[in-house]
Amino acid sequence: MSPGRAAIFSFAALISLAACSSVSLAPIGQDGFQPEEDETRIWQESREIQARFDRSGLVYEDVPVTKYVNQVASKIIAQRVVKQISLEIKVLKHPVPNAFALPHGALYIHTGMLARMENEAQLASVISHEVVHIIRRHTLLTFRTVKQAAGFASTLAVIGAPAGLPGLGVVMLGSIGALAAVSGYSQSLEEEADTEGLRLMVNAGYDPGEAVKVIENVKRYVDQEEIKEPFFYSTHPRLDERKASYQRLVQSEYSDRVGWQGRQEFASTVARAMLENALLEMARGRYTLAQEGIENFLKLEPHNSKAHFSLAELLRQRGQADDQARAEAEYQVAIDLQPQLAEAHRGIGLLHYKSGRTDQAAKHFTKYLELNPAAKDRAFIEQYLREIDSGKVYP
Amino acid sequence: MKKTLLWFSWLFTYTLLLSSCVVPYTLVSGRHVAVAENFAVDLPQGWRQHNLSADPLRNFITMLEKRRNLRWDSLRLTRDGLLLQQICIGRIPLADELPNTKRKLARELTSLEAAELIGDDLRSNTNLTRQEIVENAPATIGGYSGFKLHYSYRTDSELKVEGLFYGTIVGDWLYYVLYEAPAQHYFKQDLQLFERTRSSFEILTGTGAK
Repeated sequence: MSPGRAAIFSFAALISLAACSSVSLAPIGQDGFQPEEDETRIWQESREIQARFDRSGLVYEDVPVTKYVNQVASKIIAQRVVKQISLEIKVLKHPVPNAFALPHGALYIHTGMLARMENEAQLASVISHEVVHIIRRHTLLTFRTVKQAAGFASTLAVIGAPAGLPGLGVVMLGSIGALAAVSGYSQSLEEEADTEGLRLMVNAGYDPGEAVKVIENVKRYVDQEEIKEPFFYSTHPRLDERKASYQRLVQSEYSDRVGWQGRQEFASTVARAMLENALLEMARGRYTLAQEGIENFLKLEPHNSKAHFSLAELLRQRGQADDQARAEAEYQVAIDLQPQLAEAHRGIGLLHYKSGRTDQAAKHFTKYLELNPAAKDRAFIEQYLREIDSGKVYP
Repeated sequence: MKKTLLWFSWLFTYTLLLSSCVVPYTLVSGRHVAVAENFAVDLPQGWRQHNLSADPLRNFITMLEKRRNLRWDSLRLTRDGLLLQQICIGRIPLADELPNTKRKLARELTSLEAAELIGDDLRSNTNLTRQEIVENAPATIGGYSGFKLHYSYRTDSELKVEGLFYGTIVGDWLYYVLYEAPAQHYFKQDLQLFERTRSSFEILTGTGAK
């Protein structure tokens, strides 16, 4: 067992104790709420983690998408809570479907999670669940339980981030609280987040049945990708538990509730984040997922040059039978839509170059360098142009 | 007599263990010819070769492995420590998947396409942040035409690292000579020495166009 995985298992064993020994704390939003001393320290560390995220280049800086997810949150969260804690939602560029909340009020949703959603109600269910972790102070509960159980000193950084967490976990997380926020709390706390989260989304008028669907969509991804990382939304037992828990709640508490789904609003705003996610999948070589994402985006925005260009890049890089011809057509559509799209000229130039159509290759390479004089691969393209000039044909 | 024999056999084993004992770093110099790996290179004077299997610092190794795959390195050299500068020489079998993208290199790729794959793999390393390709240019390596990828990234402690990856596909391998060092101060310090080492790199026998 790797040290990272060992740490996760030890951690899981420790937080499971929270189920038996947790003492309930007054939720944020109640009159006279003030963070306690240890909680203030946790929040301080949590703010530092947020600052690191902000500097990391992982945050998806798209104003309409960020504004939209925050608007959805504001429909769910009561005013009395907002008066006591500043809640902010950001989207992270990461293809693994996950969402997590830092205890001081920062909530993160991966592009991979948004890509697995179909409507606003599903987004609301994820936000609601995470918001409950914040309001019910689950990090503090977990911290106190773990500290008590393991006899830890006051320091928060007692457990290193596990090696299995893809990227941002390893880069950003060091504390018990933060680790719990990302990889999941004890079963009882997660159940509380499910129950209360569902209540919040129903009160805001959303269809509770959509909470089950988002879990199903994530599970499909996890199965397809055979993900084993200990992300809360990506572990099989947890996903199965959550699906069952939601189904039980929807059938018992909300069987007669038909709420709002918000398919159109969601699709038109979040589509760009989905395209971004498809590009992340493409960079990771997950061509099928990436193609699916780009083609879904093109159904919503058929005249988007970036999407046509991205599809062309995918086809050129994948290089299966018929891919090159399709790639050429997609590059051409991208150029027709946006003649100044330098990268599309480069891509179609490379296709022509490899096929021996040197005149066309030279035309597009020249255009590429004209549009992007500071191209990082300028030396390569200039070399190809020289070779074409001297009559040399690839390979 | 039996006791003496036992004592001598114990002494023999102990001496054998001591003499075969490997250390994590060994001083290098001169021409290194790796027949099995099909390359030769002049090693920089005063540098040390890192021996992965003899290094007891497992956490340190894990940290290095988060940055890049070490198993393809045939040589990993440093003067002041691997975190301060490293020159790595090795070859990637085309049949192997790249660690982060799970994509494979191929013989029919142009040097530009091979460089793109290496660059994408670096960008997909989720243990790093702010990965950037500074330049992707043609280069000659080991006598074959290939690429030079100049890149940078930040580590988990937000340290900016700069790197140069020279690569060329020959036969069923991508041969590489790589240099990495913290961007501040260290990267420039040994750049010339690295370029001399890289120039001395030779692929012993190969197929394909030089």
